Amino acid sequence: MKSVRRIAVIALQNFKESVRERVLYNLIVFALLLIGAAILFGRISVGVEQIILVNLGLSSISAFGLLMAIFIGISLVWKEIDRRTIYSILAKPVRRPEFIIGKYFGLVGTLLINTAIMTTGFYVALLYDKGRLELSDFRALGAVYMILLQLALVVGVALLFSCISTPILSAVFTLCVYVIGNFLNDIRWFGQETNSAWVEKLTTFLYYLLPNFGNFNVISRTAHGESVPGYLLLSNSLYTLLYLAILISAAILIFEEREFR
Amino acid sequence: MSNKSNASVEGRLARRICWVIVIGGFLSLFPIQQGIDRTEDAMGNVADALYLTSGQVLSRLSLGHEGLLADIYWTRVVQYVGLKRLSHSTNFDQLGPLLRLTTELDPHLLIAYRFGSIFLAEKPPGGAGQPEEALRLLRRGIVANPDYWRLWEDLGFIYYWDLKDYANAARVFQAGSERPGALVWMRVMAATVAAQGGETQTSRALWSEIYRHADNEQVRQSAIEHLAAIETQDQIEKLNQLLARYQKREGRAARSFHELVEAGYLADVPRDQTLGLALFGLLGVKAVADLTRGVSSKRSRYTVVLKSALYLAIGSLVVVGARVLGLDWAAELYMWSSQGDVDRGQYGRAYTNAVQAVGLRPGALQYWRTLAVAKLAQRQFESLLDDHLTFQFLDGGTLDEQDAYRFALCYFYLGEYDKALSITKHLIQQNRRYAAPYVLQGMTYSAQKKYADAELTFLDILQRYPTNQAAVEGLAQTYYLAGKRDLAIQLLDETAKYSFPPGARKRFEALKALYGR
Repeated sequence: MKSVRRIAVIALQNFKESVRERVLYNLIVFALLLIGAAILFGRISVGVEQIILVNLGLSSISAFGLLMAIFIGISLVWKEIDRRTIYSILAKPVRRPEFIIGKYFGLVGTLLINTAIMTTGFYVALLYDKGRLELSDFRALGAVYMILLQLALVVGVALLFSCISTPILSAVFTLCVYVIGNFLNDIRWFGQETNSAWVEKLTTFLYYLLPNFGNFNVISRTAHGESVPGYLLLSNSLYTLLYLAILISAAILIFEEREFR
Repeated sequence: MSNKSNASVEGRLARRICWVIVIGGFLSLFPIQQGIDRTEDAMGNVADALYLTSGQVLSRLSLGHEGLLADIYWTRVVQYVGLKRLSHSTNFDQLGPLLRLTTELDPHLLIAYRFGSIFLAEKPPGGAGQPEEALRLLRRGIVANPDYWRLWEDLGFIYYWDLKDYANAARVFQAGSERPGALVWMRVMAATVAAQGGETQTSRALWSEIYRHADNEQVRQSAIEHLAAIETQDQIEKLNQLLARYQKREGRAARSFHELVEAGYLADVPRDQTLGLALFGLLGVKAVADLTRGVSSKRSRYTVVLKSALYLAIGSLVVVGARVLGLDWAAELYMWSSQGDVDRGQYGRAYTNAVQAVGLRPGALQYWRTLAVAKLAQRQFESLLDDHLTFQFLDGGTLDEQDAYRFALCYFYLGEYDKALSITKHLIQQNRRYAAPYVLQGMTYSAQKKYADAELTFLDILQRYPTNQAAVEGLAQTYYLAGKRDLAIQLLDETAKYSFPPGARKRFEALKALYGR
């Protein structure tokens, strides 16, 4: 119980610290502007006004959320080490796993709030465009939830790299994992097409090893008014939880081994 | 101290040099940029290009945002078609690939199949004139969206309208009628098209159905325009049949409606019996509404005043029962609208307004002329030639020189050069001051590769009118085609001695650059 409280304190502190980042506000403002601009983009096209609004709105939430997750996530641990504040934290009765888990939840909380702000902006734009909101419009919340799962996974990857490397390298690695994670289906297909059992096994191994970010791509379907099926929400939630457990455990393992002098 | 003083002098000098560079640099940028612009103008527009041609590759590169990319490509399609129509270009090379990319990125973007197939199938200048490509697009759409019956409707429509393949149209309507949610109308259409493909009644039924179920204002407006055109086309056809029968029996063309009445072909001179005062009011109001479309917001105050005045005038006419006068006014308003539409490059609307004017006053030549101009602008050459007898009849047996010139133009564009030449020679013989037939004759000779005759014709008119831009361009083009490139450039150089408008000069320069390459 005490452990949970300590995690909560670290998470709250990290949340407060993240919220103070100016770059965060710039990104939110830019995302909101882009969502607002979706109304204008719809006007220069024919017959797809609402589809553009949903596509651009949700893509903005996803893309800017991704930028926030990467650029704040990569400095989560490194900043504490660089400023040497880690000594004062670890000198207190705080275990290293609690520190890592607290940091993670702090950033996820920040992303949750930011996504909520951008989603509100998206619905305001939709309301402006349509004049009123219908129940079917809230199907987009399924896509927003999938985006949040994706961001939670990205933060996990960034946290892991933050324990190993410098911010710049961590950003590069996280971005690479994200891009590869979007191409996993193609990588597996490539292995099957080579007609080499060895390559096929390797690509299949990579397919299951790396986080599959392609699982969360439901924006297009949502734009056409389809709702995200319940089994997809559930299975992706389980997938994310499991993968996050792996990532955070790996980060804790690395962090436990680090020596601070 | 001396070192400090030197450093201070050097600092000031450096600052001055920097200022000179900044100011001089900006001043020099201006002529350099102008030079670049001129060179680019002379080089012409860069051809449209698609750098990525695979939708699958683009989809993967989008990292899960393929829907957004599809929207962007669809917007690009809309802008592409819009720009081509504004520039009166008939080259729609990139339309098919752009639509393929759009639908590969988002196979469920139904609007891209539905509007895209219209853009592809419509004849130039309105569209690409590629009905086969439109069929391919719709077939892909049906595979991706098998339950969406409207795509079957569009497919049948293209078979019916653009390919005149009534058997396939009926088969497609029948197949579409079996899709979930398909309206009963599809089955009726399948039977009707199979039995009476190509008949006006069938076309009318198709457009009426589209009008009733259109969920887009542009489609609905298009259906109204087509229905109006079909209605007038019916009247024109009947009139042409009467005239042909008269000519066959009497051995000459009828000169007036009275002759037709006397010969027993008509019971009375047409007086628009079906149109009453109420109809006039409605038509007048619509014509006024059309008249002020596209007026800038700055002039909206005057527009409101003008509209109010016109509405008041129409209301007064209705009240006093000026039926005949009212119809004339409505026809006049449609004619003015049509002429304004031609000036603005809105040829589809110009055609519809001209058709309305002719429909109201089929016995008045000026409305037929307005319709002829609209048809020429839309490149409906065959349709205009179909009206030949009507013009002859309304012209009193002999065609007016401008009407005859329009028919010669139609023959020229249809490649019937001998017929075009026969008319231009006659026109030149009748009136040697009328320049247009000379130019057309020169162009016709040039198209027939009779370059010597073309040269003589152009020189003839240039002796009379040395500043006739079309003749200068025609002669230069003739020289160029005949392999006399130097003469072409020399001729364009000589235009410097004469007074030409700036637009013409710019064009001559562009031609010189082209011939010089």
